[in-house]
Amino acid sequence: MKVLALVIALALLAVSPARQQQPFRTATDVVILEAAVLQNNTPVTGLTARDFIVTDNGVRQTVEAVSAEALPVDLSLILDTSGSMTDTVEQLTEQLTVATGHLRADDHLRFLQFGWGVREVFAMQPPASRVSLDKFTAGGATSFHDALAAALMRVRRPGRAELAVVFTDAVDTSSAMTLEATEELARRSDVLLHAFIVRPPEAVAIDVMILRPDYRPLADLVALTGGGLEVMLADKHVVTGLSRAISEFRSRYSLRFTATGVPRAGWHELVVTIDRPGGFVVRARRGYFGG
Amino acid sequence: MDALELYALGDPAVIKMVAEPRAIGSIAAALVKHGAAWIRANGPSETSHRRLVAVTFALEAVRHVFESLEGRPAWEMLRWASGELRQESKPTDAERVWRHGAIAILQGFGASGIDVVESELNVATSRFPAEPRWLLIRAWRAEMDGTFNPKTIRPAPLDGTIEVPPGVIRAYEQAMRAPETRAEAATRLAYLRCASGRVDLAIDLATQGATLTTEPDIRSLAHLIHGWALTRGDRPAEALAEFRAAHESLPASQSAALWLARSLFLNGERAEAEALVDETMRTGLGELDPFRLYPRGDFRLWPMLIAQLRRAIR
Repeated sequence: MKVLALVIALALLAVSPARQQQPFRTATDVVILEAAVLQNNTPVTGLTARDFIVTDNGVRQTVEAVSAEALPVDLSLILDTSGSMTDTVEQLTEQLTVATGHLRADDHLRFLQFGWGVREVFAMQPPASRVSLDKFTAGGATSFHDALAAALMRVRRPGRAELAVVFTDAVDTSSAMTLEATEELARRSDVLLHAFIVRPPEAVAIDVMILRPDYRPLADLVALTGGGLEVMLADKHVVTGLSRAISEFRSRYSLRFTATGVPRAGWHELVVTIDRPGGFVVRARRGYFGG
Repeated sequence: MDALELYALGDPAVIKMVAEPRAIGSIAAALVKHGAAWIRANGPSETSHRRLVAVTFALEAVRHVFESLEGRPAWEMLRWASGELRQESKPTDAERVWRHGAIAILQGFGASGIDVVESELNVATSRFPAEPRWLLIRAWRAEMDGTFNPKTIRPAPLDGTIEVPPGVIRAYEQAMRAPETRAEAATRLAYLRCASGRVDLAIDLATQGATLTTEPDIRSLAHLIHGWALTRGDRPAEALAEFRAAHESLPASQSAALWLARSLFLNGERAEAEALVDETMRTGLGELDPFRLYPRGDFRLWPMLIAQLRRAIR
């Protein structure tokens, strides 16, 4: 078991030197891929294996099985408390306290904050025993990429699913970690990362409706993990946004296929679509490392 | 006793007051207006000591507006204090420490303090022409002008594409000539060589930086930069060893811990990586992390400099 939210079960054949030299293996690598399917921003249920089209490095694969078991969630909430969040952090914290009340009893929650550095406010624990979120005073620089890297370096526990949700204005000023270095972690992490760009409550609607070009690198990074990026106001939208992200996460299908027709080693780019009309949006990992 | 006398004695209430950024306006106004009279109030035998008390008090107040961007009264007070110290006929070691502290704070302010750094650096050089530290600070000044992002005060990105102005390299090479600043100048130049894609030079300089000093901050930073250069050179196993050395040199450095954790994670050692991340989130340095302080030069030395000054005024 090695790669990210994908689990690659290596049912390896004995490999002869001659076979090792073959550019394409007839591999028996079983890949398990989790995917959320949305229609009009609402999770779609009741799909079967025949509804999914999966390509691995451009080669269509046969989806052998689909399950939709909602595993308990290990949720990391990550809050930007840097100086640029001064106008939003207090209201955001209040809203997050309300939103975490929607977790299930078997879910776990931890809370991270970042400014000059990254700090764990409290460790992963059942929501019933969680510490109430203190009021934070925003200030200082923004170690945004450091915080994302810290959140991505988690080991997925058996029978549980890893979700990280970050609330930020997405301006990094002090990280040692670069975006490029964080992307490498995102490709290999088991954590699904979802990002909310938070605007002050008084921001005009157009600020929330458009995805500015400078948010694109973050959108691409979270997409690698199967997550999404949204822009929102720091008001009651926080509760609905977080609840929706968790609900979408729980609704994911688990797709299983045996990777065929592609070399095992290296990066495998995955594309998942739905073989039905209806404007479906699929959120799934963008790939995995084989070998 | 007045506030300045209590400050000299280390009175906690006065220390707390001077640490309140909102007090900067009234402190600055009072010192600029009445400071000279207070300094001379007990006659010539106490003037030098009282001057040092007043200017140290001013310096500490300026440091605490670091985050509040209340620059103007801070600059006025700093200019007043700097001018007062120049009235000492013979420069003392305490004055050298004070001037270094003032410049360190201004470096901490980033771009908003950069013009004042220049004028204070000129004063410091005229008072202490043999001090090698000023050359290193001039190199930092050149680096800030030549390669920093002026909006975010971020140093040059490590994508190997930056053209470092020759003047910046010359300034650091000059600072490398003095034994006191050689390791730090080599380390900073290693960063710039890495940013410009000269991995070979970066590795050589970072090695010098790590071996020429026992200072944990600089050793850790040098190993970290060495690891980045090796990463850019696609030598992940050696990079991991350097990140481990960076972490061992200064376990509280969150930058070093996160890069070591990243190397472990990509190497398949996920449980060790997660444990390291958890540890650094509980105990790691925030703003005093050597890399996070890289753009702010000698601001990292502020705690040591103010401690020396507080001892000098007792």
